[in-house]
Amino acid sequence: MPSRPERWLRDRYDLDTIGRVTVRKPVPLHRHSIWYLTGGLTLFLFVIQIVTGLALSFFYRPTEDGAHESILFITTEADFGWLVRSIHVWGANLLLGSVFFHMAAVFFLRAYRRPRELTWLTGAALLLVMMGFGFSGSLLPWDTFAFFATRVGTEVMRAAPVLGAFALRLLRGGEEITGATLTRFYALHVILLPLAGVLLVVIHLVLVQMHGMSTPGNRTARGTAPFFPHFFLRDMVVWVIAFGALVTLALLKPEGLGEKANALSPAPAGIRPEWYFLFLFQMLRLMPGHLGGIPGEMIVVGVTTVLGAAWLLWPFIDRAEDRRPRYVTALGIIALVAFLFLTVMAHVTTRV
Amino acid sequence: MPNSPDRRTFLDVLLGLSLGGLAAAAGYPVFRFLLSTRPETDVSTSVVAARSGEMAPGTARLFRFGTQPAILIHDASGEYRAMSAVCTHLQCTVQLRNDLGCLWCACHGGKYDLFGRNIAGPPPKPLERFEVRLSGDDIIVTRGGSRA
Amino acid sequence: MSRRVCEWVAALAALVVVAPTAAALDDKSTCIECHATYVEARYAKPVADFQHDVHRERGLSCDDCHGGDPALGMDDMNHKASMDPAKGYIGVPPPGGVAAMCAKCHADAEFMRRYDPTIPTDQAAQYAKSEHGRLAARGDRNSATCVSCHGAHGVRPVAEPPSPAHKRNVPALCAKCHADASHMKGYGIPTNQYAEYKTSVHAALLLGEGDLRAPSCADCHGAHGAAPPGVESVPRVCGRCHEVNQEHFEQSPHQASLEKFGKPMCISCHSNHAVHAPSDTMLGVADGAVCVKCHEAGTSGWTAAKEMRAALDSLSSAIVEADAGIARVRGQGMAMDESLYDLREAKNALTRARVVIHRFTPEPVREVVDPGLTVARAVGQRTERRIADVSTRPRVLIVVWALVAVAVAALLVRIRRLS
Repeated sequence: MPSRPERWLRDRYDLDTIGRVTVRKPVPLHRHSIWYLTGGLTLFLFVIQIVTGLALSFFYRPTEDGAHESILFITTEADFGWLVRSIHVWGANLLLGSVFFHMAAVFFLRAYRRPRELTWLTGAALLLVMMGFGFSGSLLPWDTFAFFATRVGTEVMRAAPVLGAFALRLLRGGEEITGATLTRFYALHVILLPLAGVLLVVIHLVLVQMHGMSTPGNRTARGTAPFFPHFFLRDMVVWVIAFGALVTLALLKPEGLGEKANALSPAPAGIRPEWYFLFLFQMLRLMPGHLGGIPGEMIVVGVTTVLGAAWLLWPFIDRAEDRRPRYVTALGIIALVAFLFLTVMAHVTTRV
Repeated sequence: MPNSPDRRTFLDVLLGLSLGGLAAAAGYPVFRFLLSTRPETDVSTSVVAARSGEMAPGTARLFRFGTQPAILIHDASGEYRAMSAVCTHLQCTVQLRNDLGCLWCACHGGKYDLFGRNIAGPPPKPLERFEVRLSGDDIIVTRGGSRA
Repeated sequence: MSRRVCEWVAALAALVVVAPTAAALDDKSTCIECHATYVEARYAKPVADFQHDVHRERGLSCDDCHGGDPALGMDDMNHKASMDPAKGYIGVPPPGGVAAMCAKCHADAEFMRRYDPTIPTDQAAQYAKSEHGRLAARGDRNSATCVSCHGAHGVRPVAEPPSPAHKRNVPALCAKCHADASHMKGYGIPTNQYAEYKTSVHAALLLGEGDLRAPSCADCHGAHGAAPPGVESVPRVCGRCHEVNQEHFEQSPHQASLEKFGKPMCISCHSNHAVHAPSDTMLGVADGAVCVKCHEAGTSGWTAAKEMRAALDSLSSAIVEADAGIARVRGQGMAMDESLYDLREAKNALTRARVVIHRFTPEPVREVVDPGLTVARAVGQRTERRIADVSTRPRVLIVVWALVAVAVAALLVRIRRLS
């Protein structure tokens, strides 16, 4: 017997259709079903970022004078401020890790195959959005490390042909990193990227629901289970464990704050970007100054552009229907190993 | 029996409690955080050093400005002046000496005039000057140039 | 014949070089016209030097010091006419006469007032009472005269850096004679002062950083009346800058000892020329301490030294501990502004205590040290409490993981039930 609220809603909306694609959505069960959980984990961590970020924005001041000081207040004086901030910082790291993990799962399971190409595209855009969140957010504390890491990070853009210098000026709000840079990074981090992120997530989820969960080409499901409550409970297990891990990291390794940024002081040794940029960073470092007359940075920009385009348009490159082509597996493993290798190499060769 | 109704409800209760507990553990700090208040003026860039009428002319008062001591001088002519009270020699705290007509450092006898200029003894540099403004009854001292 | 030609050729060549010099010095003057043409540097140099002389800028010339008449003997280059003793010519005076030559003007207050109303005019009187003056009066060529320090013909005011008597140049100037063993032979005074001075903190300030407030030789020994300060004057001379130390010293048992036995003076512990930045090591009874140079073990002075050092040490170690605690707490993201502010008091107390030890009795030192100790210890305790607070944080994790474990277990059971 439907309850009164349910009857009220049924009278106005087609709950059955909605229910079919959400609550009762059939989730295929097979050996690789567990990877379906990666998407949910990413969504959960994104929501945590939004909540903690919103809380922090109640106190943060995006000006040259106020930024560092407000973060100092949050970290040292506000009740549990250190906890909210540490969760936000560790959450960002876990979120980026989860995004990469989700993407790898989707790649190896080839969930981007027809008709799900646009889902892949929105997912790729989301990856870029998340990396943008990380980059813009890391400047906001306005301490020495943030300042110089951002300077190095944006400096690379000069190497891009034609639009490079313009893009750099647009991002920095001038030639140098100043309070103007801080304000626009804040606008990016708190307005533009959240809008884009939420929009893309909604589209991404709608697309996923429209097509249902993809099954790997060479497997058949031994059955399905409704999303709610069966699969949702499994999501919850992952979410609860992730929550525990997040709190552990925040409590054992709380986020500190360096000295307020001073443009006139010398750059500290061992400046490096966040870990999810390290592979790009390392590529730049490995490039010789010049190769056949072309500046090394421009080569890296060129290579990353080509690789990035290939990655973005991957569903149109790998169009095989069912079995995973050998080359896809190979490329995937090479990319994964290269990413890990470059990241670790960058990490151990820069002493912070 | 594994799925007896009692066991079921017990598990549900357990689940509900644990999830509720986790939600509370998450919600409570955020709630307290959002309710945190901060002092109106930020101590390290601006501070209310005194209220008008509190200090007689020809007196000075030491106050805290961030991590450093500072001194507010109420001149005989009625003017207020504020400067760092950290001696530029070896960082002892200076004081007003009306008998000497100057600011004096007890450690090595350094002397500054009432504008903070070093006039005798070891101090190599004058005292850092701060800006003073009156807002109603409050005498507010700020570090020059920056806004809170 | 050829010799005369050579002489004339040389003279003409010199003229070409020196003529512009001579032309620059206007007023027809045989002194300058003749001396400028000399090839021998000994006679030509004064003209070149005089170009930059402050006396020339004030309108004075050779005859104002050396006498004679520069207007005479112009046409035939007859130096005997201008260098005529009848016209007051005195030439180069003997050592004892240099001061008199300069004092002719410089000791005349009314005369000097025309050029600089504030310039001192007592130099000659002081010089006469100094060792340099007395030796010079006896004809000793080794002793310093006015021109030894100020130069003869290129004199600049002492305030200007090129002057050899400019404060920063004074140590090297005195050293020119006083560090030269062969020059100083027979006078019975050491020649290592400059070498020692160069190692001193005074030299580091004056010569290294160019800080003109730091003392040169003249600040302690006097300039024109140069002599080492008398034994009882040493604290007062050092006290000209080191006021507070002198005040304490005069109230200390060492003052009575100085009056009675002639020691100790400031220089007994701090050296006269090799004055180095002091450290706590100097105080006490351990290796490197100066107190044990006079005070034997077990004597009251020895005990006092030990106690004073112990007081300083207790305060400085309490401060170090508090500072370390603050650094640890800061690294964990906690503001310690108030503690840093409070710890200042302790640090100030230590700075003051290091001056008060010049009372050479433990009680006044302890009076300054004790409040500082209280503050430092309070700050240390506060940071320990903050660190203890932080260390309770991981205990929360136990609760969190317990909840997580229960939730996961309940969820897994539910999942199994459903499948």
